[in-house]
Amino acid sequence: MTLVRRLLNGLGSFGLACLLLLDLFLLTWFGTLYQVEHGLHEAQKLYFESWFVVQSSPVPLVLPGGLLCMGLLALNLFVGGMVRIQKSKRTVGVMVVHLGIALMLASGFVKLNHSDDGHLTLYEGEASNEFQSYFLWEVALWDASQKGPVEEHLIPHEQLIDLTEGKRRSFTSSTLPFELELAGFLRNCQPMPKGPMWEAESPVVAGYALEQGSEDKEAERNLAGLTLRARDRATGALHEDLLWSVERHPATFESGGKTWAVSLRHTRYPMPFTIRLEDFRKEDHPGMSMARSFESDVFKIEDGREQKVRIQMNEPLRDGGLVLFQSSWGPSNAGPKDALFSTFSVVRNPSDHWPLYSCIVIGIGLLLAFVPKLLKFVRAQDSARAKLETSA
Amino acid sequence: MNVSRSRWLVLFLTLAFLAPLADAQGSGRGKRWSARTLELFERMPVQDGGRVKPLDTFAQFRLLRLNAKRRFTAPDGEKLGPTPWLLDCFFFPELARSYRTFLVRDSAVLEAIGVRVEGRKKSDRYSYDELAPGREKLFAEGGRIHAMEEKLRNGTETQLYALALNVRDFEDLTHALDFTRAELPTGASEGLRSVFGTEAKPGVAHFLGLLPKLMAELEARGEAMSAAEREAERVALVALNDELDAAGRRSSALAVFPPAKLEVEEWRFALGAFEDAYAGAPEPLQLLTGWEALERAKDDPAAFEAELAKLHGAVSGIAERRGEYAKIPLEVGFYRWDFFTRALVSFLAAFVLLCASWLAPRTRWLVKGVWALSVLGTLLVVAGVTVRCILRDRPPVSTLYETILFITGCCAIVLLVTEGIQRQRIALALTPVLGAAGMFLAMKYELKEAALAGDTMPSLVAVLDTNFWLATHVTTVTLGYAAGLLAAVLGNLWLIGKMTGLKKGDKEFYRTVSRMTYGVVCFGLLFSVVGTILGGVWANYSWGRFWGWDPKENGALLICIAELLILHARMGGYAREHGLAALASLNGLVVAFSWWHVNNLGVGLHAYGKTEGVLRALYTYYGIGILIVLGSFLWRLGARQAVPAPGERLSARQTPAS
Repeated sequence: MTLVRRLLNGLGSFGLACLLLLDLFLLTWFGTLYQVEHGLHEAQKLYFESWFVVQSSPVPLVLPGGLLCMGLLALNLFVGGMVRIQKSKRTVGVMVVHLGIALMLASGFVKLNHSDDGHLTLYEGEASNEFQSYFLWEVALWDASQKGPVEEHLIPHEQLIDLTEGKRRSFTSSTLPFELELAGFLRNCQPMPKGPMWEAESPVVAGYALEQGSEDKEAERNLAGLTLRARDRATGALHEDLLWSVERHPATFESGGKTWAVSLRHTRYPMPFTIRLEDFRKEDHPGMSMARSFESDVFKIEDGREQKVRIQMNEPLRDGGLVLFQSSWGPSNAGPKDALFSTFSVVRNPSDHWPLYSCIVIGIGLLLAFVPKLLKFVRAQDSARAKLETSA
Repeated sequence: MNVSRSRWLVLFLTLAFLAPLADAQGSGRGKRWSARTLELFERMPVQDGGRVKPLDTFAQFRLLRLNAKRRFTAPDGEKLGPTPWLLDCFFFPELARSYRTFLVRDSAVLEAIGVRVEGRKKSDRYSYDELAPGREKLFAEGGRIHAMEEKLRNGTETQLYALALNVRDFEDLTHALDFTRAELPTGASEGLRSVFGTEAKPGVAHFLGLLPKLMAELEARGEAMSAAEREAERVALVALNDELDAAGRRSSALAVFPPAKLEVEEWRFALGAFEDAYAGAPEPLQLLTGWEALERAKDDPAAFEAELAKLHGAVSGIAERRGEYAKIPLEVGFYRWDFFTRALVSFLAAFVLLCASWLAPRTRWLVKGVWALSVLGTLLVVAGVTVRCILRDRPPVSTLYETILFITGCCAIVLLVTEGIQRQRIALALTPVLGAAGMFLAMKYELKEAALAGDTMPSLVAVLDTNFWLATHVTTVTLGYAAGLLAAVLGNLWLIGKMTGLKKGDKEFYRTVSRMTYGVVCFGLLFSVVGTILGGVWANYSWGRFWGWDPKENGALLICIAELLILHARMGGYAREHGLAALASLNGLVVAFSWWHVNNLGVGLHAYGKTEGVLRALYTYYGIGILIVLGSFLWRLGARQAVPAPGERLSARQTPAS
């Protein structure tokens, strides 16, 4: 037996399938329990979006992580369930099921790597043509002395999150009269007046430093911060500042005769249309404080044309590759005449409908696999009974 | 002998004579509520928990919450159900306060509020009058515990809090008709006396009915009044208004006043009815007058019945115009027919016949009886679930309680169909066992629903308010649970059977059970996989993500993975009969984890069914399940060692010869 054939045998074997299914089972089970103490985001990172999991409690264990497990499972499914499987009328159903599962795994892969998601929050009467991420950060830099629309320079999430433990990164552009240096990224922090009681991890600027907090179980509640240094290329003048994601106003400094603004914020994504919230309504069940429905009447504005659309629970708006879902609302303590805001989850997912297709394919495959077996079983029972009756 | 007999006769006659007397003296309401009164009252519509339901349903779940049973015995020996109990709460509150309807599961709760009642068990029922000395302490404790996080409360605190809520609810019920007994100060000023006379009448309808006349009177006299007279009228009116307001606030237990305007969804409590009557609407005044007439007629059963018929006609007439009455009689019938208790009885009776059939295996009528009673029980479950669907205009499953009914029904149907195909009495034997267990669990969980939601047909949160996804995803995934549990039962039957020597040597029996287990796992996988993916599709279309690793989603995924593992292990030859049975048994634990446990983790989007006491039951089930599987492997090890090696057998044969 050649090495390739042996490798294929191993990769497509039932044994490997069982081991990987057992691994996936354990990952899912431990990942579920882990959420109770550490939140969904952490559980997802540790168990489902990792290559390996090293777990100390409740049972010390080293396991292949979700990425490795599902990658190998896809390979095992392809080799064992589609290539090496004996092709006959009897195995058509099983092959169709495997095809459906492959489609579902593919949709997950596309979603993981090629989708954007976030939210759009609007008060009644407000409009926006961009939505922002729940978890990802970016630094935006623009010329604040300019009037009207401005051009922003953006530094993406991936270039910020590794700026820990003394690591610094410089950014330059021929259109900028200064060099920007970022460092000391903290996932969850708040600026505090520097006193003798605590050791600041960030530089002290105007008596304030960023104090690191423990990460929140709900990752979207974390408030990031980092340190900024801008050095004027002509004069060498240095401006140092702290950026905190909740600041209402951007940090500003002078360079090249202009005022520059810098802000740390959640990553923003442009939409091909503008959404204006006209009216938000929350209806309760009669005599209760339990919501029966949430509805937002919005105008979708594209190329100067306005279209009225209602977004409500289970009925999102789909357009331009984006889907806007009714997500939440507020303020929760609003009076009858107070303006309300409505929050929409926004998703751009090229594999949006693939799970439904895979569900149909898997359903058909399982029926093709099991119904003949059931019919065979019933026929066997009938003939066995007939034999028994004849002999009696 | 004759003397003795005559003594007994005298004693019986005396008791027979005294019994009605004791009844009349003890109850305070002379006679029992007539059948017609009960029928009218239980069909009276009320809005509660976001929907219009019969007062009977309202009464059942209130009593169930307090008493953990739908019936109790009054001090005079009368057996009372929910509707007569509610009638007593409304019209004879002093009497209702003497009923032992408060279940206290641990007497430590009473010690905590300084109440001591001699001669009671640790878990016993108490009357309001018995609890009354500790009322202030109970409410103070209730307030303290309310501020605590739920997971930080200990057992006694949880019970104290529940008792405080129950006592408060009961007080509300006994004050529900306070407005009919209110004595408004309608003679406190000259202006008031000129309209209402000098004699105060109980109730508020008289005042509200003559209010326009009073306004006209005061307006007419306005200019002629001195400043002092005007001040006296003002003070009298303020006092009257305060009293009216207080009466309305005390009578806030029930929304029994349907608004005449169709566009208004919310039914009115007494205070709202006052406001509507004040605004000139005739219907609320008519209804308020009707309730007051009932209060006045409560000591005359015939008059009470007549007044109740009038009031019922008025309320149901408005409700009918609003399209909210049509299902009230059906709901009353649903609870009266008591499908699920009857199904439990049928399954238990089938089980008794089944046991008898084991003792007399050739008695065919016993087997036919098991068949008949199992089919009857199953039909009752199906009928009950169907009526619930009609009542709520919903697919069969929208709450945890309904999953129990649906799973039991499905398991019973699958078993009966399997028995129809196989005729080996294996599936037939399991039908009454599973049916009775399911109905018993449903009855226990109904108590939890009564305490948590006050109904087993509650209103749904916005995202669940979609019949399409409830009919597809929820129904399919619940079918997957049913199949997983059924496979676990079959697996356990194989394992326990082998360990206990059931049908020892009958390989065909075990082969059949194994084939059934495999078939049910396949059936389960189909529904679990399709149901789980449909759940993801629902999430994708509702929240924008197919999969979010939410505990409930993970639970469903665990079932799919476990069942895939079983099938792959079987196909790969890693699990044969014993392995299949063991894995199916363990899969039952996974189903239980997904069905109940994840809802009790307190995290995730599906943490809507958190239920006290469920975890203990789950851990017990996990423990038993694991012990059975481990035990079966130990048994197998022992069985292998017990079989002598060929060489040993030879020497054993040789020993006698030598």
